[in-house]
Amino acid sequence: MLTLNGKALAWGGSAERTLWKLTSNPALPVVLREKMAFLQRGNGPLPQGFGAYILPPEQQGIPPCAHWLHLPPDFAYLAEGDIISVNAGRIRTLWRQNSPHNAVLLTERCDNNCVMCSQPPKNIEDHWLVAEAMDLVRMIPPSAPVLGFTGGEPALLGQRLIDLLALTRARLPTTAVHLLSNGRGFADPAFSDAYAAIQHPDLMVGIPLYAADPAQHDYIVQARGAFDQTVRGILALKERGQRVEVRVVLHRQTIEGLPALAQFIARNLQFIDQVALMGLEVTGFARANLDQVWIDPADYRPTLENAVALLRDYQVPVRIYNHPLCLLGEMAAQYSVKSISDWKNEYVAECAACTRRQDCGGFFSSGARYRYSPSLRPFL
Amino acid sequence: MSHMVRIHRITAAGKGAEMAEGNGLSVTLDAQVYDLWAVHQAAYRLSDRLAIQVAIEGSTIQCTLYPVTEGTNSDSLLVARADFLREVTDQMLRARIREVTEPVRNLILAYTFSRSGLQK
Amino acid sequence: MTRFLPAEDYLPSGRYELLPFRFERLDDERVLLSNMAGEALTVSSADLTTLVNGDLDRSGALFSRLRANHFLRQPEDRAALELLALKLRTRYARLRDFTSLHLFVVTLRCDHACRYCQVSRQSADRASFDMSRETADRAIDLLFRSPNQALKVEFQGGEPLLNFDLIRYVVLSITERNRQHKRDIQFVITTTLSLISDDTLAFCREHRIFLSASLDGPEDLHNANRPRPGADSHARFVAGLEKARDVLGPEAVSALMTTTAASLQRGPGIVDEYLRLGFHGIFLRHLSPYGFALKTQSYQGYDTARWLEFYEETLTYIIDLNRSGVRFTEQHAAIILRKMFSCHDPGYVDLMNPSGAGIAAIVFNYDGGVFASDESRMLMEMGDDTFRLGSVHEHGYDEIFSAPALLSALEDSFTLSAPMCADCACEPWCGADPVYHHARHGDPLGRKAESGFCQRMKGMTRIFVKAMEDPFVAALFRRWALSC
Repeated sequence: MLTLNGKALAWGGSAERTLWKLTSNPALPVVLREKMAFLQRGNGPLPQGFGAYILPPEQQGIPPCAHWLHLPPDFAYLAEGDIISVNAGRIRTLWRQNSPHNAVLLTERCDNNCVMCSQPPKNIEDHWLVAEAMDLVRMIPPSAPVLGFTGGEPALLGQRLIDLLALTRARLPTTAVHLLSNGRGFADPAFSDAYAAIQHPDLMVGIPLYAADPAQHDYIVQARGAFDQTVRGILALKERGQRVEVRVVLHRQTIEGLPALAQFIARNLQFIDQVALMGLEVTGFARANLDQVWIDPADYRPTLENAVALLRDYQVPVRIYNHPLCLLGEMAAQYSVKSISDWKNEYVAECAACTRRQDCGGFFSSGARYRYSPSLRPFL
Repeated sequence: MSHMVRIHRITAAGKGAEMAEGNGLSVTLDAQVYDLWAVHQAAYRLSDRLAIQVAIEGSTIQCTLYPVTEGTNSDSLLVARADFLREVTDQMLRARIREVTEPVRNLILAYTFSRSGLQK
Repeated sequence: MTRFLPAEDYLPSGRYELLPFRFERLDDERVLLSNMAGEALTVSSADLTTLVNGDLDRSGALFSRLRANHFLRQPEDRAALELLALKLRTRYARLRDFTSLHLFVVTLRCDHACRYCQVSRQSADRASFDMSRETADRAIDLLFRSPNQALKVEFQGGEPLLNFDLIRYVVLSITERNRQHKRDIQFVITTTLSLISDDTLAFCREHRIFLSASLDGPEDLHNANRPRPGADSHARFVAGLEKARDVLGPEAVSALMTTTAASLQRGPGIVDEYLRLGFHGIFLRHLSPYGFALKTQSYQGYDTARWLEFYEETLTYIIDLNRSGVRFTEQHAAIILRKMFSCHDPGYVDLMNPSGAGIAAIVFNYDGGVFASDESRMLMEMGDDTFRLGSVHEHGYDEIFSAPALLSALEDSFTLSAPMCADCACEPWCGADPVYHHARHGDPLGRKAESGFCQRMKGMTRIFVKAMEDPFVAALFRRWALSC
């Protein structure tokens, strides 16, 4: 598990929030230095003229600039091209140049309140997040292959989300963009019109659907009427030719209804671009409600196998994410993807000898820490 | 070909009834409870086995059931009568479903033919 | 934890609303329901009454199932209506495509004298029973008037290979003209394979022509059904099949069987013969009430109930084959199941609504007569020209496709308004067959209570629903349905 948020051991300069792109190149032309932060490796002399200096704790002397900080050791992974936000000594990693798993948080507000939410919503004023995301998009290199936007519920941002996506399309024309949303906002035709009008060439929205029975979905997301809005949102998006992934988190509250849900998707939403079946992340509310949501994947193996077979028969593209390979049936295993964000992926002692770790969907580090299946069997 | 000819003879209502006079079985239904339409529908559904004469008498619907196939005995006619009664009940249920779902059916059909785009 | 409300709090309150559905009793206990989109559920008889009376328990599994499958909704469920509309639209999408299948009856002459054959002639008189190039040219003109991008051209007979020169002419001429039209065109020859030659196969390979052949079962049964000089129909079929596979590949030849009275006891044996000859499926077909089938009384050889018995027994055998690990499909089932499992119409002409006759298929007879379906021209051979829409020599495209014979048959047989069909739970999976009903009952709609067509469809549906109580069969049928 990588630390993405932390505090500087010591810092100096303005307390205003600023985004910095990091470089360790002391030979950077002087004209380019002002907007960059110099990432110092080890103790040594510092080049002149950079906008900020990100220093190891052992760095001696005051940097030749007002903006500087001493980086705590758990940020040691930071590297050339990464982008961080610094705000009065608080550090947040926003962009890791060499990771395919960059997800930008756009808001912490949400109109769902899922019983297993890994990122519990907060009802706070956080418009600065989307403003920051706009700045970030301007700094990400156009060569970036992929970028994710997440929340909270980004659609709550309304026009600001549309503006951000339009900017992303303009600034990063060849970057694939993945947006996570509960889809409810798209039931509003004006909003989905505006979204479609961006005409982004490579944008997919991932929308969770947890049950075919509206009452069960509404219970899981703790919002009455959510199912109806979400489904209408999906329809509105597909009617406008937008790409949609339906996401199902596998846990105690979704497994019983999984066959019916697979059937519902196959009969009603056959035109969606992908179904993502995802292992549970044991963090946030999932940890708080562990007894209600935890189920040993070994116990739902046949159910998952049947659901995958059904979707396959209906030619609905299906992928299984974040799921240990050894707990999948033979067929489901063929649809498993190694996918957990690198900063969240971990293996446990049982996996040490496993020969297929390279192919494994793996674990959320939270799972490794709090609860994982006793049925893990390493491939030997 | 003989099969076809037989069918024509039997379903010519009046003639069939006349022929079968005397070996029919009568069923009396309360017109306040049963719908004439449902009775007709049921009669149609069973027309491969029964020719059914329907008449209104006061507040009752009088149905006379005649076997269509030769060699029908009284036992099998009783079975047919039970089937007829069940079928009338089913037709009442069908009529009820049709009636209560008529508005929503029209709404769905309006949706169906007014918008386009998603079907493959 | 107090922040989370229990599941009961999300159960709907207030009255629920029924969505349009139809029902059919399976037996004393169970009822089959189907909704507007053709989705099916089985419930108990008591539950049906409770459902219609508005008394269903909101916390029960049945309520959840009926709501998720669009048999009922809460007044606030708007998505249910949108989804139903979408599924209906998908079901009728095929109508936009209009005629796809074009049959060319290139000759009535045949080397076989099958007992149940509708049309063929044992004659050497080419002039009287072969299609001429002039007729073919006119038919090709009409073919390219079809708005459908994907066209299927099927050569029928008689034995079409007896007039292979014309097949060659038609294929070359369509291919040439298609350089401009750029349609997606597929050719099929319906043949007994008895006369297949290396030259024929080379031509088929060059133009990617599929062969649709006939195999009624093991040698004795096949030869009894399909007499020809030398009584060697089966041997010729097998030789032709191997030769064709050598040139065209393993899947280029499909086979069709016809059930005669002699077949009824031999379902498993027939399937074994298909299996032995390397087929992965069979189409269990009943006899049609046309042509020599009626004349020779073979149509009277069994009734629908007996055929259904045969069908169920043979289907069960096929299911058991699959259970033992052999993949084998019953294609007649697959077509009907496709409609039960999806809203995508398989485009099977005999089971479409409105009727596929004239809409999905058109037949050009050897003499230039245009018919709404293959059965229509068989009817003509019996002296009934009701469904003759015109002639390629006398009528243009518009005249043919607006022929009163076609339009009234389509309209009169439309199942959504037909008595008994309108309230039949099987209607979404069934179709209108005006030609059959005209032949049997004298009008395009027919009387469904007596209709063998209706009995067969309902009977097959019941067999399927019953069989699918076994999860293995449900998954197997789903696979058949979605890959046909």
